[in-house]
Amino acid sequence: MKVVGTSILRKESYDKVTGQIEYTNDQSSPQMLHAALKTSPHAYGKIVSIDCSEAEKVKGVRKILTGADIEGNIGLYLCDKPPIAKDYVRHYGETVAAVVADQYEQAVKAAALIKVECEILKPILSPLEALEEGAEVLHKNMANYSHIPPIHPEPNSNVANRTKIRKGDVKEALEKAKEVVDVMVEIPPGDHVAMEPRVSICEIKQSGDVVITSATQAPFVVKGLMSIFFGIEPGKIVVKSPLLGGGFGGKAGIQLEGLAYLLSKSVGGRKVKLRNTRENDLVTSPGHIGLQAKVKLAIDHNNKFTAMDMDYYFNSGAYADYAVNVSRAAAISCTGPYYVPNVRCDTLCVYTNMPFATAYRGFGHIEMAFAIERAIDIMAKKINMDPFQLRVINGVRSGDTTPVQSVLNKSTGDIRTCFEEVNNMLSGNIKDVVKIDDRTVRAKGISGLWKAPAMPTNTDAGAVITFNTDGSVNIHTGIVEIGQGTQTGLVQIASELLSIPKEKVHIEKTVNTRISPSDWATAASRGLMMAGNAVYEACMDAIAQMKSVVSTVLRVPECDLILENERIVINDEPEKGLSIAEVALGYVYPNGNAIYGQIIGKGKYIAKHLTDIDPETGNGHPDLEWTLGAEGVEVELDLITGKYKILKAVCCMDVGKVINPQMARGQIVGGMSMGIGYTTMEGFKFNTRGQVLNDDLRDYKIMRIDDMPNYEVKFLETPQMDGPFGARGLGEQSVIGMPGAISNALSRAIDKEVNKIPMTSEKLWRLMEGLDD
Amino acid sequence: MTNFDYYKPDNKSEAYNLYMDLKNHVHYYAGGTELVTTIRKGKMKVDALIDLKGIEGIKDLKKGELGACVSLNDLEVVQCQMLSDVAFKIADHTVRNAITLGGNVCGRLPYKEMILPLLAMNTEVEIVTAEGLVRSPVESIFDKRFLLKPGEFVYKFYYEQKELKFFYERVVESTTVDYPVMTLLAVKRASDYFVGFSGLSAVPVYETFEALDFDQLTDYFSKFVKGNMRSCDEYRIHLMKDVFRKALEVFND
Repeated sequence: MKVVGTSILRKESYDKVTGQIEYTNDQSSPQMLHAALKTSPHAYGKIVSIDCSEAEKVKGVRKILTGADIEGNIGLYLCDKPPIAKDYVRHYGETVAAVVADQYEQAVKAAALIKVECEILKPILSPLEALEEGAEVLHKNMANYSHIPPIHPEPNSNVANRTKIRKGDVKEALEKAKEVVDVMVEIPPGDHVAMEPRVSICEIKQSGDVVITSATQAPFVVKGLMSIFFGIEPGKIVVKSPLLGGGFGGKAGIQLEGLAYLLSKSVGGRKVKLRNTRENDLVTSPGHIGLQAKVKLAIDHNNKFTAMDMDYYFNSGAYADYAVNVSRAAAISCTGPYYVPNVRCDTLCVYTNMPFATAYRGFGHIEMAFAIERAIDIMAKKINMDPFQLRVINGVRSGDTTPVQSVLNKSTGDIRTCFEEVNNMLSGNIKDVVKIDDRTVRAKGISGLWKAPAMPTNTDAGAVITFNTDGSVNIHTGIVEIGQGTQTGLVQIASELLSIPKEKVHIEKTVNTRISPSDWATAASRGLMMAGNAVYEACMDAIAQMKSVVSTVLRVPECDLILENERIVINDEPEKGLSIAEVALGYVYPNGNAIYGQIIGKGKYIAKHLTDIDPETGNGHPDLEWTLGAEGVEVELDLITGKYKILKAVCCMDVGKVINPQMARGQIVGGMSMGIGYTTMEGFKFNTRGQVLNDDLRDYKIMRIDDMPNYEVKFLETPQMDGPFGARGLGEQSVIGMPGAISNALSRAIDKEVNKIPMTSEKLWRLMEGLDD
Repeated sequence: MTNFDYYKPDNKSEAYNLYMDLKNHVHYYAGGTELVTTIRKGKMKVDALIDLKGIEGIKDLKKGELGACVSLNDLEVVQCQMLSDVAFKIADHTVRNAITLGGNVCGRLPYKEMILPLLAMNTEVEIVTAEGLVRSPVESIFDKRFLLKPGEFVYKFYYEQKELKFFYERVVESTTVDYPVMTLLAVKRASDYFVGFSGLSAVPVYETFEALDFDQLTDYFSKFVKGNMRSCDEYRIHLMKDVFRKALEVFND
């Protein structure tokens, strides 16, 4: 039965399009209380007083919490964030009070009546400003914040993490280089804009059970951190994660769950729903990270990259959340998918007074790749070489060492062919700018990409499969369905291995940490590989058990049994055998005797050979599996106005075995369009006081269907030898190359270096006019 | 988000009288796309909304006559190129099902793009007033916004059905579904040219000219240019000049 490698429909498609999916916010009950937030209009200030007296008079109000009511911080990796601002507000939109009321409308009304007096302070609005001598220290108590060992905060400064990479001798390589180029790039903070805003529901039962239903990609992370921060026994915490309306990293880690718990606790454990408005979701909850980066690239006489010397200043905003690990992940992959023998890189995660950052699709790689791909194109121009050729000759291959000096193994994808495919899809001649008429030109740009999951060294996944009376199967894993389609991919793996039609393979869509096997998080593009391996093992376990039963009943050795069309049969007498239905819940002899009992398949996977990296040199093996690829675009640009349209966007990625071609393509195209939006139009706009001007969707613009180019996607299938059927992760990767490809095309079109995101037509015009550089 | 009383009268005077009788914050409601979002964000106080869409005749739609509560998408019916060109670039299709012609030109948002073709086509407007329906040229009671007394509302528009040569261009910051950085409508009429902008300034600006002269146009409109988060003054002036050049090319053909 061929199921792996075919484009079956998503298991949840019909429920989704007919509105039958119950998302977290759809859950409601008469007893439920509702919360609303009072947020700060200031980017930085000292809280002088909070007056809740008018708000408390509003009918239905049960409780109002402010920072003064809450002890201690919470934080994913660095414990720096009070659940409600305490003493200081550090970014526009930060929560300063939370109201619980019988009805949501009452909570909103009351929140508006809370009076907050703030002494406004001068905000820090860029990482470089935050690193200046004598800059205001935004977290004065950093020395006392607890944190995980792999990150390295620097108290009495605004550096929440510094990761160092030291490989070879950069100084010598720069001295001997044929050419050296420098580039500085900038990316503003922005948001994921998932269709579903974040929402968490929490209830504390009399039994002590803390039951949380949440739009989370990481129910097990929530469970673990709730236990650490609030001293709750892990077994008492139940986190349920229904289907999500998009995550993109914004629902990883811990989001609203901690505050929802505190609110429930404040009203005697009653069920409280805390949901973000769209505006809260944009600026109160974390978005994507910003960046300022300086990159130096050196080549030798063979046009081989000899050195990269880099400083990445990530803009974490007011709190560290995932940003500390984003900056660390960028260091681990800091050269992009190119072999570079000499590397110096410092990535800093820097506090500013901007909305804070969490994980975002690409996790540090989209930012890092933008800087690298700009540098490569500037180099290609300097030495008058085809940007495609320069990338091909420097692309990594198995046996090369990465920036952290781990050796790329035999599963490493073929990036050189990826570049060739992209070059072909764009009809070559990447260097040429074609004149269409007096004011219009067309230009092309390409970029490389790579990504390995950035995750704890003991990241795990598990799977349990059970059977029904008709021989159909139920899969339980900890993978959350966030729109990426992994659950369907897992169904395909089980269907193929068990020789059961896909219609008879069911998967539990809601993850429940008390029922589902442990699973680190649905993040880092690891779901299909890690949970896929667990499902694989669970199926093999079930098959072994079924063969054992059939062997007993038919009196044949197990090694003579094979699976065929939902039956376990004797290999050379396939008419003799038993159906899966006959053995799945215990075989019953004709006289009524039963044996063995039900088949329960179990499978697990844990990342292998991972280590942390050395704090001084970065040496180590933090990278489980690399996905490599190349991308390119063709743009048409108006030289008078700077207006442009992306005509074509192409991608070739080496993903190992493609489990579901249509869904894989969808995932790639989705990432490309997200990358186009990120590059061309997104990002927060600030005034000089650090207030976000575009904190709603009237003004925060994202990609629309009519902005879409034609997409062309190709896959290479170099097997991931330790992946299920040879598959590796492909969820995030296609976002990574877009800023590089687009900026390279635009730079060629206007003959100026376009190094700042978003690349609006006004910015291009200013570059063309020489008003900016 | 907030509780308010909702009324849906079926005739003009009832709506007017309701408005005058109700206390505190009362607003007329047409398409609601602006009101609902503004109210949700707590930026507008509302005690009562009077929905105008039930009023007899207010959704009438035929060549030359447009009820104030026809949706922007409905305008397709009258097959007037100028109206369609301007209307169908506002928001997106789904939102245009709700946005009304009257709402677009009477709302709080500064763009009011539909005022441009209405002005260009010498449109007359019927207003419901204390004295009943009063009909007058749009131009006479529109200055940055409709100059209405409390309780008055726009009922119908009557535009001149003439084939007019026009140039229209809408410039946005990036994605097409956005407020305009500038919308230019330039129209050649019997004895003059109408030139109007939305977005260029904080309010719609327009003037009539005997002839179109690049320097004169630039000179006249430059003083209104006002940048915002979507683009700065200098870029707007640059874009304005570019659209003038394009318009002149069309009319000089």
